[in-house]
Order: sequence, then C-alpha cells, then structure tokens
Amino acid sequence: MTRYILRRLLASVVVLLVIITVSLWLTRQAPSNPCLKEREANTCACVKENALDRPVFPVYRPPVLEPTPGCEYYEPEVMVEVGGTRVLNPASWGETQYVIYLKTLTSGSLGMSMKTDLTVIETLGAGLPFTMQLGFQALIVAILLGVPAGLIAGLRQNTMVDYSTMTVAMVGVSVPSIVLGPLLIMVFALELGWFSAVGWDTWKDSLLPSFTLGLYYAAYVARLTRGGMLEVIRKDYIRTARAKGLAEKVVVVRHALRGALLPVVSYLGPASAALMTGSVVVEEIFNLPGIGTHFVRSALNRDYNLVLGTIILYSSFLVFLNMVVDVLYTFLDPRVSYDD
Amino acid sequence: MIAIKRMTTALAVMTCLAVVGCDSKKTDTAPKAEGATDGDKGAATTPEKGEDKFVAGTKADQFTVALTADPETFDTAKMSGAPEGRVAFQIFEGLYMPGPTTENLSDPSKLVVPAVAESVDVSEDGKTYTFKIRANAKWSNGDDLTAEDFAFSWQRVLTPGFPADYGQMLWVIEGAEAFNKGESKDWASVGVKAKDAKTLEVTLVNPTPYFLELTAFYTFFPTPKKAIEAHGDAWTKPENIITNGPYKLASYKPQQEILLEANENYWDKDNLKIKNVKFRIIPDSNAKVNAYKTGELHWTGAGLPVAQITSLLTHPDYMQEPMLGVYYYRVNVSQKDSPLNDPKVRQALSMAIDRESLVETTLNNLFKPATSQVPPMPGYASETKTGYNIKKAKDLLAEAGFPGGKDFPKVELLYNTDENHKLVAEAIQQMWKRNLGVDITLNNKEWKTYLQDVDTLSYQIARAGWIGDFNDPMTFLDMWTTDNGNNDTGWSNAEYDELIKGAMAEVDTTKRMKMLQSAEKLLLEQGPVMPIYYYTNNILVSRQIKGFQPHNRDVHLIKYMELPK
Repeated sequence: MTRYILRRLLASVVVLLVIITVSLWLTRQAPSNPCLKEREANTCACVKENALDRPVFPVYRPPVLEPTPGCEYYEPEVMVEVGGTRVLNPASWGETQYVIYLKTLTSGSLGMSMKTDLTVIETLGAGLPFTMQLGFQALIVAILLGVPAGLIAGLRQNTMVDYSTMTVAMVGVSVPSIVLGPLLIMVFALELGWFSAVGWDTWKDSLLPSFTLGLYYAAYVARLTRGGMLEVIRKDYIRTARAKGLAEKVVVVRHALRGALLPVVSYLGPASAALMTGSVVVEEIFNLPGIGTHFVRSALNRDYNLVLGTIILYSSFLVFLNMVVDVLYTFLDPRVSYDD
Repeated sequence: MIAIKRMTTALAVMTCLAVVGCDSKKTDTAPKAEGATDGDKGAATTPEKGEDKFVAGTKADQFTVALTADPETFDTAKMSGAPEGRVAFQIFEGLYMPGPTTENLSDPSKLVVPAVAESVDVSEDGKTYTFKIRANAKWSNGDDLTAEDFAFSWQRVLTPGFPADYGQMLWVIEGAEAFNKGESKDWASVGVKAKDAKTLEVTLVNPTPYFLELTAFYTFFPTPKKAIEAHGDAWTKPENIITNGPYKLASYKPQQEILLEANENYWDKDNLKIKNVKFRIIPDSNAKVNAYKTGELHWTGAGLPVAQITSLLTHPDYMQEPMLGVYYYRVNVSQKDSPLNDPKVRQALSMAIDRESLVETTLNNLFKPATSQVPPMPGYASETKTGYNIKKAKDLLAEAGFPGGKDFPKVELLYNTDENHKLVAEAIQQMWKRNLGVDITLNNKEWKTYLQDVDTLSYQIARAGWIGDFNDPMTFLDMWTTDNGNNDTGWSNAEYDELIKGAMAEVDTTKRMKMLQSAEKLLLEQGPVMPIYYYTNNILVSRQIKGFQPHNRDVHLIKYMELPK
C-alpha cells in the first residue's frame, strides 16, 4: 500500500507539471494582458515588473505593447534556427517566462499577484481557511442528508417514501445556488433576522452558505445512494446473507450499504475538491472571504500568476482526493487490492 | 481607472447635508422617483414603510463603510483606482486636501484646503509654488514630516520604470517629464527643492491653476522613506506602514475588512470626531444593499444595484451626488474608407441621439444628459451645447453623401459586456435607425479584450467613460491632442493642439478658459466624441452622519464627518 501511494504521488507531480505547462501557455494565449488599463498607465513598467516582455517558451515572439521612452523591453541577444523556427539561444532559456515561473515554484512561492501588492500565497491563504471550512460543512450536509435519504428511498423502492424523497432530491439538484442563496437570505436574514445577510464574523454566519452549497450535493448523493442500493440489494451475496438468517439491519448496514456507497465515494472525491476550492456563486451572494471568486476574477483580470495559483491549488486537491478515493475503495470493497 | 467601469452600474449618491436631524432631503440633482418621500422630515422618525425605518449602522460596532474591492495597494505612488483612493485619502495627506464639498463653489480655489502645508506662495507668473509645511506635521511614528519627504516621494514616482499608474500627473513640474523618461539622470534638474526642513519650492512648466488640487491627489502624497528603505515593497503591510493622515492602517484582512484608527501624531487630531473606521469589502452590489438594510453599514460607498434601484430611490438614506465624469462614445477615425472619418457624419450621429429621453426612460434618471464633453464644474461652463436636432442631423448626413442613410455602410458599436451599456447601446441603435436610417451592429466584449481593441484602434465606435482627476476642463480636453496616450481614436487636429498648448501656457484665467471653451467647441464639432451622459454617484448613507456632503470626485474625508452616538 505504501509503495502504491508513493507511486501515485510521483505520478501526481508529473501530472501537475503537465497541467502547469499547458495552463501557463493558455493564459498567455488569452487576448489582452494584465497591464492594460482604461486610462493610459505605466504599462511598460508593469510589463517589465512581471517579466511579460520575455518569451513564454524559447520560441520568441516580440511583446505586443509598445515600449515607452525610458522603458525598453527585453530583447533576446542570440536567436538560433531550429527546423525553420527561430528560437532562443539555449543559454537564454532561463529568461523565458516558463522557466522563471518554474524557478519561482521551486523556491516555494507562487509569485506575486499581477494586480495587487499581495503574493499569490497570501491572497489564496487568506481565503482558504474559510473556503475549506465552508466546503467541509457543505460536505457534511451532503452526506448527512444525502446518504440516509438515498438509503431509505432505495429500500422502499416505488413507495410514497421513495417518490417524495426523490422529488425533493430532484428539486435540490435543479435549483441552482444563485436562486437558493438569495431566497435563504431573504427569508432568514432580511425577514426573520436570524442570520446576517453578508460576511462571516462568527460560525453562525457560515450556516446559510453551507446549506446553500451542500444542498445540491446532498441531492446528488441521495440519487447515487439510491441507485447503488437498488443494484446491490439484488446481488447474490445479499441473498446469501439473508439466507444465512442475518437480521435485515445487519444485511443492510454491513453488507449492502458498503457496496451501495462505492459510486458515492468515487463521486465525493472530485466533489470534495470542488467544494474545498469554493464556489464563486455562493461566495459572491453571501460576500464570503473565500477563494472561489479568485477563480473567475483572476481570469478576468488576466492576473496570470493568480490564475496559475488557483489552477495548481485545484488540481492538487483533485489529484490528492482521487488518490484518497482509490485508497478508500480497498476498505469498502474487499476485492480491490493494490498490493502486488 | 477601474472605477469607470464600475461607475456605470453605480447608482445615485448624495446624503443629507450636514444638518442636525438631517432630514431626507435630496440634493437638487437627485432624481425624484414616483412616490419618493422627498424632504419629508418625519421620515426619519415615523417611517411609513418597513424599509424606511432607521437601521443604518445599528448593528455595526463602529463607523462602517463598504468598499467595492480590495485595494490593489496602499502605496499612494502606484495606485490608480477608486477603492485604493477611498482608503488613501483617510490614511495619507498631501500638501493640500480636498474640501468637504464641490457643490455651489464658484471659486475653484475653494476646492482644496491646506493640509500638510499651512500656506503657499505663488509667484507672479504662476509657475513657482512655495509651500510652508506645518511645524507640527508628523508621520504616524512621530517623525517630523519635512519638505525632503515630498522631494523623496515625487522622485520615487518619477524614477524611470517605477510602476506609478499616475506618474504622468507629475509632468506639470519642470524637468519631471525628461527625468521620468530617462532623458535626464539629474534629479537637480527637476523643479522640486526642499529649501529647508519646512519649505518646499516647486517650479512648474506652465502656470497650472489646478496645481493645488493636484497636490491633493494621492500620487502627490508623501510616502515614508524610512519604511520604504527598510521593507521595500512590503512597506505597505499593516505592520510596516507609516502614514501621515488623520488615520492609520490598523489591520487588513483581504476580502474582509480594513480597520483604521485615529493617528495620535496627526496635527489636527483634536478635531477628529470619528476615531475608528471599518471598511468592509463587499464586491456584490446586492450584498452591499442587504448589509445596509440589516444595519451593518453606515455608508454604501459607490454602486447600488441597477435591478433594485427603483425601490432604493425612495429610501430616505438615498443620495445622488453629481460626478465629474462623462459617459461617451468614441469614434475611430483612423480606418481607411470609413464613413466615420467625415466630421459631418460624426456630428450627425451625435445630434441624432435624444439624450433626455435616453436618460429618462432607459436609465431611470440615474444620470444627467450630457450636452458637452466637459461636465459642469466650479469655474467652467461649456460654451457648446450638443443638442438633439434631427433635421440638422439629416442635413449633415446628406451633405456627407448619405441622404436618408442610403448606402451607409454597416458600422459596429463596441462596448464592454454590461447590462447598462447594452441598454444604452440598444436605445441609440434604435434612434440612429429611426432618425437617420443608419443601421449599426452591436458587439460586446469582455473588459480586458475591449480595452485591447480600443488601445489598438480595432473598433469603429466604442463606448467609453472618463472620470476627471481634478476640477479643471484640462483633464477632459488634453487627452484629445495628437498622439496622447488616452486619445485612442487616431484623431489629430492642429488647431486643437494649438489651443490646448496655448491654454497650458496662459497665465490669465479668463483667457485660458476662453481657449478651453474654444477647444471643447472644436472637439464637439470636429472631434471623435459623442458625449451621452454625465455620471452621478448613487449611494445610501446614514442620515445620522453629519458632515457628509456631495463631492464630484467621490472623495469623502471621514475627517469631516461626525457620527452622533
């Protein structure tokens, strides 16, 4: 098992490197750039400060923006011809944005935000605790509501209990948080005054957003649990368990549920990654200090470093949680084993 | 200025003036929505509707203001946006500072009041300013604030390659442009001299009547040499920062709040009524209104949600303040074979816009119809009025060779994606179709892409906004000179350039204003602009606050305010 985890970790590093390379290239393909403002500002200084005048990869393309007097852009000294393309002299490859960025990463930094005075780590670090707490609470909402609901519906297939639970779940999946959030604010904050409408000062303030965020996942989990239950309950080993006279409770909890939860667990891996990195919509509606908004805003601002920071954070979560899911399988399904 | 984009979705402004028991009277500029309880003194005490009951700030533990975004920086030398300015004006102080209001001022010199400087002597030719700095002007760490601090700060802004968004503002100082461009390495060639610890002499290129207002702008604020040398770029962190304003930065939690506390070393600390200030960062305008309604804010800052505006217009704390800003369409005149290269076509299009009805029906009277490129301001009135004149517009279009819009090529109007810009564009598209028979297509692009298109002249007509940096027509007019970095239309007119150059050098105020009026007239007749409306700032502000008065650049010093217990 340890060897398996180590192998996975090593593979993760490669996966992340590929993601970083592709993302870095993609950010630079987007039109416009971080230094362009409505009012003519000191674009040249900003471009130089962020090394945006450097080639992205050794294939050199001159910067789009005009330099200004007293502020000249980087000019590569030597170019060499490789297969018909002009590329940088290998000696200056350290000057490319890609290598500069990788060097920044190896020094344990994600660089400076190109828009603000904060580093990317400071920016994301300030919001991450809130986002993770919110995500964790939403996850609990999802599991505590979703699994029992799905279980009951599955066991009482085609009864009123099943229909009503699944109707609620259907509604839960269909109502987006952009509708649910404002509704909850209107009723519980503005009308009843039980909660504050915006911000996060005490734990109580996190309840409405956790519920808003978790409800969708709860509904989805309920549907998955029900489906899994229906499939498993007809399996031979359940019949065997019943045949040997086990109590129904034991059959359901110890045998059926474990199998039924497999699809739920594999869904919860990526779902947790999404939850832990925040929701733009919920954070905007409740004005929470999380990191979800950075995913959208950094792209709109062309804040390349912050964009890459959010991508690295999200993909690390995703890769890690998928690994956790695979490990959890060995506990849920005795047939799965990673020991060679 | 990012503010411009946000401003368009921003709504009205204006609170009650500094009167005890402040009634809910709006300024004369405030729109009167149907059913508005205007000037109803009873509204404060006997609310008729639930939403009118007084709640502003009742749940806040201190004076609390919303901020639309995290400030990008606290470094006054680098900054350029509205949230940055809101904080900077409280924690820093220039030689002069903006006064409490810009309304009903006939004399532009009343716009600013002495701050770090206690007085100034201006030479005959209007080019040399000698500032006497207060003996008790100090930094928040207790150090003496000297003339040398200003010299250091301005040299920092002008250092070639220093990322100061507003660095060019300092080019009014003699030798500053050459130094900034790296043409001169000698700081002594720049007209900034610390004569002694408390005397600063500034020599300008031209007599610049608005220079005092410039010294009240954040790029001209002093920055602390000690902290900058000790911490580099990290000097703006709350634990390192040294400021010189009425407040100092106590803490900053990104995306949450900024706390200010009174600066005990401030020269005028005895007159400071509000001792603690909390800025809450609330980007979403609906969330901001929710926070106001639940009593968590005293003042919404800027930007009420358009969707809720009709209900907010009747709110007793609603205020609309005029703004020194114009929403206009710019026209690219640099494309080959474009009909827009003909000034007659541009004028015809401009005249065929019914601004009154646009503002009234499409925009809920949130803004003011524009009749010129320069909004009204103390000391200047436009000579020109761009009016709605279908007949003349049709004639001009016919003269240009497109009678009745016949054969007029398809022209594209570009705007950045936003509900408000869309409404305006659609209304104008219809007016041009109806009045002139001219068909245009609408195209919207995301903000940064839009900026690039404008910057590279890859558009035909584009929506634009401009917020003035000081109360002088120059801030709206010098940008249209040939090759100005903000021109972005390809328009060039030798006569116009001459007029602006002449106005810059003119000492006589009356003559100078005449030249600027002529320049504006020329701009509207020949130029690449179609002014549409003047911005206003729409806010909710607690009627309890005393000393809150409308300011056309939305600069409100909390120093002037008082919050009764």
